[in-house]
Amino acid sequence: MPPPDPGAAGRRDTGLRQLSRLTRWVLAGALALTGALSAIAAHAFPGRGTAAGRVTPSTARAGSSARAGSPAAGADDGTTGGGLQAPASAPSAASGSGAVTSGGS
Amino acid sequence: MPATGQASFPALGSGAVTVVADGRRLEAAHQAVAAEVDAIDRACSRFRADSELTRVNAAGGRPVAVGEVLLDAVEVALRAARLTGGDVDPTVGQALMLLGYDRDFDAVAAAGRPVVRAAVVPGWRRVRVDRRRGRVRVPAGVRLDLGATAKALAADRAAARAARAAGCGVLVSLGGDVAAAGEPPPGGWQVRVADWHAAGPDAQGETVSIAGGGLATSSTTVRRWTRGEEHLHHIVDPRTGRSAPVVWRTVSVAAATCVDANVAATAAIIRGVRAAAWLGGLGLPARLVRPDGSVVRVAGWPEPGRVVAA
Repeated sequence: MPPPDPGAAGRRDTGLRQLSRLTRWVLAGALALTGALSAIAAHAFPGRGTAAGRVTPSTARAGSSARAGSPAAGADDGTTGGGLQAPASAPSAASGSGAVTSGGS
Repeated sequence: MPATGQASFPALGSGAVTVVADGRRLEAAHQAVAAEVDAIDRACSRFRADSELTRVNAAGGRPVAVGEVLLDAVEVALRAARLTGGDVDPTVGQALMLLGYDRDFDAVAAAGRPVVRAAVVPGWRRVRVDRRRGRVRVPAGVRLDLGATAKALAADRAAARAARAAGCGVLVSLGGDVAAAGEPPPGGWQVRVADWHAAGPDAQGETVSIAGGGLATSSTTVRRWTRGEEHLHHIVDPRTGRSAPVVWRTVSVAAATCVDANVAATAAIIRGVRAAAWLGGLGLPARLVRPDGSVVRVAGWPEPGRVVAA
């Protein structure tokens, strides 16, 4: 049996360290790429929030016909006072032709 | 008690009317309204080559730096979409173009070849507003149309600005989108409600009095055109990319602001048979007119002829 090469162990250790570094770089690169692709996908495709996907009894108003799968109309994602707001007082009947006309345009 | 005053000028493809409770302040109010309308037109017009909206729509998906007016207008449009479950969606611009409404309406051909395909409306959730950087981004191929909200927003802003400038109550109508600010005259502001804003004082309809806020009307009887055998109008259902089925000829809504009134009126046209219950549930006084002329009133909209002395 030939005597062991005293440099072989050193070369092996050097090779293993290089392999270990390469593995770490590949892992870090894969994680970064996954994150980047996720961000791109999140911006590219429309999302559907879980809160917006349900009409619950607490947010649906009586008489409302908000579609299933749509946000409760007027709820404005829970923002207080952010829904469609009624006037301070309802219109009252009047006579004459009016100063202006509200109609389609 | 000072006499009221009134002035008008062509604007936004229709007309602007300014009414003041004190006629001596008319000029100040009129100037304020004109300035606000001009700002909205330069920011939000889909048909002006130099508008900010045109730049956004042509940017191929890149963010575009815009001014405060367009930032506000796009945010208002996205709020409208959110509050109506997507019924009033600003990304219908491409669908309108495919239907033939691809230029100022006066230049749209009254008739033409059939529409062979409708655009898939991309959806308002794909629009990004970066308020901090002052940028708006729409995906490539998406065209924003702010027609359902920008004119009403202009009416709200113009009325508030004019009331400040004039120091008295002001009523503004922009193509039938009506907003009031400041102290109204005794008896309130008299507003005629009809199918068409320019139909004249004797047009079929009703007159109501409002003390403030907004009143808007959406109608399927105006901005109509034909492609093949199909009768089209300008209110697009985002779920089909085509003109909404005509369940209501005209819907008028009163709300705290003209924007809210117009959003509700437009959504009601699109929601069809479900609209009256929806408006009633929100407590929005509304008048809905069927194609045969019969009327449904909800949430306190007054019966005609029941005039109460002030």
